[in-house]
Amino acid sequence: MKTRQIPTADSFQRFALIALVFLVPSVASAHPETGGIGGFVSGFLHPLTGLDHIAAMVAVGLWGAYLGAPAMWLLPVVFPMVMAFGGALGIVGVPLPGTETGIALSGVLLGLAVALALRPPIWVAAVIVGVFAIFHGHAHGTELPHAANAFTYAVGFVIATGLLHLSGIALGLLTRWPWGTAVVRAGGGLIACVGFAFLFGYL
Amino acid sequence: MGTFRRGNGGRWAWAAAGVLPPFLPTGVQAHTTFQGLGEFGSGFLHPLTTPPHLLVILGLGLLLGQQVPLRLARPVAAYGGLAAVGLLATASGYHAGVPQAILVMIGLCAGMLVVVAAPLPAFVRPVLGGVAALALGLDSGVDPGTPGVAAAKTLFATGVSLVLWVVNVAFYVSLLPPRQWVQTGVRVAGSWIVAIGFLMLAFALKR
Repeated sequence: MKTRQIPTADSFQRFALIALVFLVPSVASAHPETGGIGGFVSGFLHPLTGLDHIAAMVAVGLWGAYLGAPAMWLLPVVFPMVMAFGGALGIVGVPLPGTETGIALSGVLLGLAVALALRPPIWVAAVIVGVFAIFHGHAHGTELPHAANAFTYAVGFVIATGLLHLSGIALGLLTRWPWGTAVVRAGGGLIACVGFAFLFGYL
Repeated sequence: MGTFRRGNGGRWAWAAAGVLPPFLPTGVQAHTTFQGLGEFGSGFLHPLTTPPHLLVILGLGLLLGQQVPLRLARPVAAYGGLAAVGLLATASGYHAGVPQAILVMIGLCAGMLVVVAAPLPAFVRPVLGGVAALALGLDSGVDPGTPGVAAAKTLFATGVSLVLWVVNVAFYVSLLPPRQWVQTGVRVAGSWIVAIGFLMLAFALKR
């Protein structure tokens, strides 16, 4: 016959004591932006900390997937390069007027392109994406933490941006199914709404 | 009669003063000593722990591996030979190194060619490999006070490492299936190298 051990008051005390150890405050985990790891984390989180940026990056992937190959891969190849160029302009201090408006407009136009299922020639899509990439890159470059490790910051920044595009492409692949097309276009509409909200200062 | 615009010379000088510093030699990327690894291990890991070197190695490896058919003999001969020349130059007293901006630009060029993914003329691969290897070799010297045998071991290991990593990357990239999405993945990797290169150049300019 199986016996079941009943927890005693003693075992509860021991459990409570161990649990309390985990609640004791230790040294705070500050946010170092120096060193290799700090630079990577800082760079990786930078594109992920703004809804306007996230919306536009995902929209690039969505639109690419909607347009199909080769646009599906061309747009995510163009975007990081041009964005890094814009980032470089921001880092060295070259001014770019209307950056925030450009970023908000990128959400609006890219979102609408997906929602309305626009299919321009591939070079037109690449130019549109490239122009907006400069605004996004410039904003990131200008807001760059001063103490960041250059290489690891750049690696983190580019990988995070690429992953956002990939998530957009993954969502966009739903267009293989009829219901998926509706979902993707609705996603585009949502991104356009986010863009409008940023454009008119609601977010 | 021609007029001489007095302001232009000064403006160009200011522009040059702003842009040139990252392209000036700043000293070699001295080898970090890894505890317990010794001279050979430290030298071997050196290219992997120096960001601009890593950028060049990855860019060049991707480029060589992407070209069909895979022909490594000439590029690797040029690469290995000129890496040895660069490393020997540092052993015989060249300690100025290579500006980080130049190394980054070499990596950026290789990345750009990967993005374009066009078949290259036969001479381009050995030339690009040779230039990259010379720059990497000249930038991988040991500290001036290092004893002779230790310096020789470190430099030899660095040379082996420089060749080995490029060949490895090229070989494994060449093994990738010719499917479109896989080849596009290689181009995406190239675009990331270009993007990282742009940002590193900007950092170098800012300093």
